[in-house]
Amino acid sequence: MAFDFTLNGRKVHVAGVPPQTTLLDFIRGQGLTGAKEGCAEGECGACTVLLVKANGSGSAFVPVNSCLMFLPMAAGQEIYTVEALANGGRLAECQQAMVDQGGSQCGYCTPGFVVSMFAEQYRPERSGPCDVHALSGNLCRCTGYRPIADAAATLGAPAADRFTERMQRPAPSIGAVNHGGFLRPTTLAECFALLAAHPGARKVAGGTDVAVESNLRGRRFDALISLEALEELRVFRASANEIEIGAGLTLTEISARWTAAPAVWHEWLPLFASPLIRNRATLGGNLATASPIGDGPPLLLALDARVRIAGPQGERMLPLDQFFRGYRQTALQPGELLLSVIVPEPLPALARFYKAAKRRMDDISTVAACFAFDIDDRGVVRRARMAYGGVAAIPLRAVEAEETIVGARWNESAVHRAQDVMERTLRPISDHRGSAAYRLALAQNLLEKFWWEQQAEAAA
Amino acid sequence: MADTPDYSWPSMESRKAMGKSIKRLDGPVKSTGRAKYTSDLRPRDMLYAVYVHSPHAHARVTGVDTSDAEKSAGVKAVHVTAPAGTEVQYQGWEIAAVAATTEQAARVAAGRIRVEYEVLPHLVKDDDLSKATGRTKQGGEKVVGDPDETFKNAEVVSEGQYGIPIANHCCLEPHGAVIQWQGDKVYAWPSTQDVTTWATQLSPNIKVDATNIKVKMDYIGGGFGSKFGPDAWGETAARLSQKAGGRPVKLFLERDAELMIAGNRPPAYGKIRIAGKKDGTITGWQSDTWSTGNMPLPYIIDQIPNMRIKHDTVSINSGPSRAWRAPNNQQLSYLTCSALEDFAAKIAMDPIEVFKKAVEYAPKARVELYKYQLDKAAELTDWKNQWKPRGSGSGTVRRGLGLGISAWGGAGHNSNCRTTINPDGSVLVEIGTQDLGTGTRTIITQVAAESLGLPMGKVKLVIGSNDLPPDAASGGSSTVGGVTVSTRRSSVNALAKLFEAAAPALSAQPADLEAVDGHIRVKGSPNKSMTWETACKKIGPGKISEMGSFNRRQPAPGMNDQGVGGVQIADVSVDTETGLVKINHYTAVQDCGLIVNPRLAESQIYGAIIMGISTALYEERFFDQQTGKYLNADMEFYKLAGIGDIGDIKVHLDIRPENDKRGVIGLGEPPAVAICAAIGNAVTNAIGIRVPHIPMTPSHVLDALEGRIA
Repeated sequence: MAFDFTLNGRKVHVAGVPPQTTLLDFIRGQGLTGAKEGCAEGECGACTVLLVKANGSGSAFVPVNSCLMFLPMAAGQEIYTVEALANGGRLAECQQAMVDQGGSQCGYCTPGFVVSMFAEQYRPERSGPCDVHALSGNLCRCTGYRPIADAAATLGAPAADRFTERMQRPAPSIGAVNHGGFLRPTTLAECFALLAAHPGARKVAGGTDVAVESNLRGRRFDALISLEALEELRVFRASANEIEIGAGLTLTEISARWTAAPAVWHEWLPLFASPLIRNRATLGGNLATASPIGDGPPLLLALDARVRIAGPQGERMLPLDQFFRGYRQTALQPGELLLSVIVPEPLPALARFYKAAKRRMDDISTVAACFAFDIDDRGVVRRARMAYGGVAAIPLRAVEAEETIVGARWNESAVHRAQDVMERTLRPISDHRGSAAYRLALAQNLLEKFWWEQQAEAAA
Repeated sequence: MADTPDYSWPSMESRKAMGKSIKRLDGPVKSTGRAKYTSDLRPRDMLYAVYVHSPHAHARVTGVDTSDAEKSAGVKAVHVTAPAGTEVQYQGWEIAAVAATTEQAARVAAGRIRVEYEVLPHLVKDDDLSKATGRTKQGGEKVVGDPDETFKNAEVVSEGQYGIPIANHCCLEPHGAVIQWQGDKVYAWPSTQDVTTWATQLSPNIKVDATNIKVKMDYIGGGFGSKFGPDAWGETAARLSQKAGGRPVKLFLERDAELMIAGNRPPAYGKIRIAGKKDGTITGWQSDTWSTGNMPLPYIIDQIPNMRIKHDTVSINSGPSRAWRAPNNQQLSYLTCSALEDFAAKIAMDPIEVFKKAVEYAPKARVELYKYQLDKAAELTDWKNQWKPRGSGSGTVRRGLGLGISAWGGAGHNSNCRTTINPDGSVLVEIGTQDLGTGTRTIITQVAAESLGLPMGKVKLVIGSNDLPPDAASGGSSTVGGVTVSTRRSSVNALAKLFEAAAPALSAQPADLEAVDGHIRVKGSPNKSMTWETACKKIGPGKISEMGSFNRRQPAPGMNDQGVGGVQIADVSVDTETGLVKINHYTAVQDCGLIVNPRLAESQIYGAIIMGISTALYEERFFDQQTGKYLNADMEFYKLAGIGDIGDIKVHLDIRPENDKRGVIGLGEPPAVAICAAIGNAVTNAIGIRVPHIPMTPSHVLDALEGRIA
């Protein structure tokens, strides 16, 4: 019922804290008030802290939203807050850059930006100036961002210091937790036993969805079963005819492992969410929450992915288009887990992902689309996948529209035929993110955009 | 002294601290996370308070039962703010509050308060007057000249519908306070834009003398015009503290309540017609508008000879209006500049030329300024080559340029400052002001250092409490004009005393001395000099402590001023397939008076522009018309602009001797005015048709393109 973790290099013993307390509330309660609460849902990044995660044989500092971590998720982890970055009176380089460039106004968001900037500067694979998109999970209402971007641009490789030294050593491995209804098994067998013993339990991986439910809607769970310590969910395997991606890998981890990922993955990844979210959100979580506007499903539906499901009775495989059963409902039976996602090779020759949202980055989609085609030398479509989110209660493929163009030449009239079919077959809903008419128009226009972009590329 | 000392600013060339891009002094404490905001405070024995809010947009409270909450674990006080009989006018109205030993305990207890309502009919839709029967108030009609005849005989009449919705302030630190009411004393740590008068506003509500209310605030996480008074929560927190036997109580709004009740910029909707000649001369104006507040049109160009202006107000069941960074000016600028751009398109003229003709109708003193700024903005954007007639672009992604103009006052507010010089040479400057993040700390220190001939590091500044010499609310961009003058005067006065003390040792008259580079010396004889510290030793026992003030009723010509104009140009790309608008470049030309710190000034403008871009492209509230509920009262769907949305922003600070000699003018608000206007016009220029309603979201743009606008 108690656990330890390391906070700014100091061991912290936690006992008697309600399990849905956020890491943010806890550290602020310790007097470390640099991290702030702005939104409690991973939008503003004012709460950003660093997790020490494995990177090869060493470690990396990974920025995350502390408002989206239940405190027991921190068990066994090593965490740093903004207060740990300066060395006595000597500011960390990114802090000094923020001072020099005038990166604060009211300053409420500043610690969050500093932590994201620090992580970007110390990111192991980084070369060249800091990428401002690494700061896209942090919102500022005062500065206009320009001085913050200027500060990031001044940062080169970090000098050797206690942090680079820390990166040479391995990250802590996380173990079992049993804390007031928060249960973190370390093997599949334990996990199935827990799922059987707590039929009402909610499964949680990165928590980027579940914690929002807890923080904003006051949802209290009888039991939370964390999948974070299950090695079985963390496989990554690439073979000649398929790629298997563990459901428990975060999007950041997948990206690091999938070195031969197709262009469409790299197009999709920054649109999915900010780095702060990608550092916690798992691919399995994105599929299992079965949101009709999740970004994972259109991509994976277009790539003909399958899902591996495990339960106490054994394993089964299901094509992804049979996984989504209704609004936020999946084919997972009680007691079952999503183990991995399998993407068959060869990947389609032509694939693009589009996300129409109010803001280009870090927004929920109104309509998301992924088109994946194989077109032969004569310009005839051999395979066509048009997968959508936001046009129905579940993510889906526009199969009838696909059928109208397979076997035909890929030209403007094919685009229009497919659009006509969509008009008849897609039934999007109206809500505050978009009317049905707007969504249908988007679904049609995105296909047209796909076509025109190919023409432009071919011309170039 | 009989003579009034010379307070005038040092000449531009001779300034050593002022006019320099000094880094903000609170940068290190903010970037290390050490700055304590009110919401970070946790005094000993502090209780956490949580509100119960009305879920209904309009209802009568028929019963509030707090008995279960009072028995709930950890609860120390319960206070009902809307007893039976109260008619709540919007969702989020505060009904009751609970203070408990932990936030969780307070939340649980709040959930146990049972409130009964008689639900009443509501109106949450503000953009359709035909649905607002019984909720409107006719504002009457203002007629100038002969508008009917003018429109009848006009060569050209253009006409358009325009709308700009309610926007929320969405301060990253929500509204709230920590308050301790012990005996006859109240200690308050609010998040406020007005440290000096906060207590006097709370005092009558809780019947405690203002002298017994101590207010302190070091840092505030954004205000933008929404955080002046104690509000309902100030009083509620005080009463909870009193009921809990004087334990401090922290009451901060949750994000949803923050969006619902703690900040609404009023909307503006309506139809505008412009009559004119084909050469671009405007001859008549007719507007028929409505809002929840007053909207005096036309903006800036209010000397048009023939006008018919009608404005109605509508009352809706939505949180109360608050000042939002240049109140009403965004709305007025949007409506006016959109109509001007539509007129220009109708006569196929370059809008720069039409605006230059239109500003002939601006107040005389500013006509030439606007013309200069329009030319300057055109030059900076290469308008002549980059601007194309409306809708002449092709392809799926189309580019457009648009402009907007602004006006603002920015006069200094009443301010008092005390400068103390100690015999050990240390200097203390005290003002009861606040630094909203605009850089007020840095600027006051620059002025004091400049006035005393000292390096910045020698001046210690204390602000943020009502024990200090009174200042005023930071609103209307009034802070910088007030504090610079009061600081200058108190520092010059203190220095005069130091000169008196030091003069005998230099065998000179006090009036012959000057303070330069940490020395007191005889003017014209740099050899007759002593260090600051040596001079201060002459003060003898005691210390020098002098006041300086600025009072609005006694203008300080050359020290501060009011009245600025600005021109902004947006360069956008619009994806006609998705409706997505991207900012390519944004250019702001801003008239600004004497600039104390160019870096901070530019930072204000950048910040104002991105806040404006955010409202122009993303920010909008959605209501369920049936239930009256605010559907997106959270930061996931009340969307703010992010670091990837800013484009390339170019700021031209108009630093010229003729502006400098006007003295200091506030700059926080003026650059926030014209953005919706400029972006709306740029989008229209790109796609060829008017998207009437801000924000220019993909769905609004695509609806306009595909003819779905009703």
